[in-house]
Amino acid sequence: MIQMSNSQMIDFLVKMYENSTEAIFFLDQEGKILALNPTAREIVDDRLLESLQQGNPSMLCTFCRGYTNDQNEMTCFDCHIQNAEDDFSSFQVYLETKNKGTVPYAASYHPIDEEKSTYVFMLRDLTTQFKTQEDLYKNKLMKQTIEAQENERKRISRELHDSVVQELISMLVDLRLTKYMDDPAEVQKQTQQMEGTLNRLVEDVRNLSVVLRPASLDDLGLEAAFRSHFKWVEKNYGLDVNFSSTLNNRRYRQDIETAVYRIGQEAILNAIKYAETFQVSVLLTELEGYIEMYVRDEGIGFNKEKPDVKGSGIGLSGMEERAELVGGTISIDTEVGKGTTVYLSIPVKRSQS
Amino acid sequence: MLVTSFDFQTAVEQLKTDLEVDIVLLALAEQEDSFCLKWKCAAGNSNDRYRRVMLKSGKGVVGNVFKTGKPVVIPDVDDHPIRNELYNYPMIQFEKIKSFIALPLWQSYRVKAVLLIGSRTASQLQDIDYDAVIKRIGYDFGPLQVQELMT
Repeated sequence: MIQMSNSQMIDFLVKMYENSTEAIFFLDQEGKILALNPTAREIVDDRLLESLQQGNPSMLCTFCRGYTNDQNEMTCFDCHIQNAEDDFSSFQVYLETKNKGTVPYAASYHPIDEEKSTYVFMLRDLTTQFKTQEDLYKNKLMKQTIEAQENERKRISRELHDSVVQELISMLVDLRLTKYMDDPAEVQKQTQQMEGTLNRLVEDVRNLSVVLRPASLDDLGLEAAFRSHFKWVEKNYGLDVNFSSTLNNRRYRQDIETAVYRIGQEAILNAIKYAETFQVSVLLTELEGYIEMYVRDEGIGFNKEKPDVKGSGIGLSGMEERAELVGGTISIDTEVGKGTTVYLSIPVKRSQS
Repeated sequence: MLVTSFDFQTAVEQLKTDLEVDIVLLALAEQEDSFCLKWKCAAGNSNDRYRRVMLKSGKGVVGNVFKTGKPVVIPDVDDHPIRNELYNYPMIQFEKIKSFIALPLWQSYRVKAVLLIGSRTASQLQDIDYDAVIKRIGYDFGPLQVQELMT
């Protein structure tokens, strides 16, 4: 270790105090400010600074907006300054600053002199770090969204190419053939075949349009749309859906209906994909101004922290996003081997009608 | 609809015994001109789900075999691109089939049925290669022909 004389050490410490980009406050045990370095002065409001310089003790609390614990982003519950027993080597605190409004800081708070009860409170501005993190998250989400969008387009394009265009071409060939037919019986047979092809084509296009957005959702409401969707699921995936609803064909705002429908659809698809079960029950109800939906399966469940994703992996966050957009909340209750329940709750204010 | 008095169920069960596989399923075309199939017979199945599932021409493994008339051999489902899309193939998922052969069955130059021969152990069907299976089945399956038109 490098040996240092006391004076050298003091010199270093003073320079650090004066020039550090970290704001340093010295406090007593009640949170009164004893001293503050130039960076700290830049944070603090001018008036407060003046009153400090005039010798009036001032509390940190006057511009502290709370710290972040596991419950809240900004809270004064169990304030670290009042209760210095726990480990406060690192935490996040929000301060009201002079120029930049409320700013998050990474803070540490610990005693430097037990006898005189002097504490040091050091702060590092987290704004840039937060911004980077937020951008990172946004970029990641954006990438996933674009990928999911592209996949959906691919699916529709393939559907158009594989079924619609093919059937049309086969119709065209049949039609050309008919031109050269002399025997009325043959023409009859040919037109019958073309009729069949056309019927199939109509069916395909209708399916495609329903998958994109079911008209029944707009025209008849949630229950009808869900019923026909579940029928389709049973036919195509062999999954039984026990659907019960107490909505009695009540209608809601379009964005709410869309959110409920899409979230329900996604939850069912997840059950098909992952639950390894034959049965899912869906309950739709309105209770005390909230529209609620339960999607429950008795399948294999999953580990929420580490789901084994098949696909874009955007489904769960997409469900949350949709719920949030209409002011609702979603919770997923699952455990490996215990099945899965998706619970959705959205506040509804229905107009008097 | 395929009109026949042939007992497909017995034939399917016999085939399962002969080939010593876990499961044999048979899907028949619904109507003369419809492009839908339904599972009609099963041997070695663990549940009756197969009766509920409707198959469409060009959709899923069986739908594609039906549409193209080309057999499909997947020795290990978990080691194949379809592993993440298994939910689109309900029978494979419900019966936990890990390797399978899907064969088109013909009548008057049209695919009328699809035979799915599956094993719940991966790669078990790799050893029984495709030609051997064909040989064991023979050239006829009741009124239908095991005929390769496009290979």
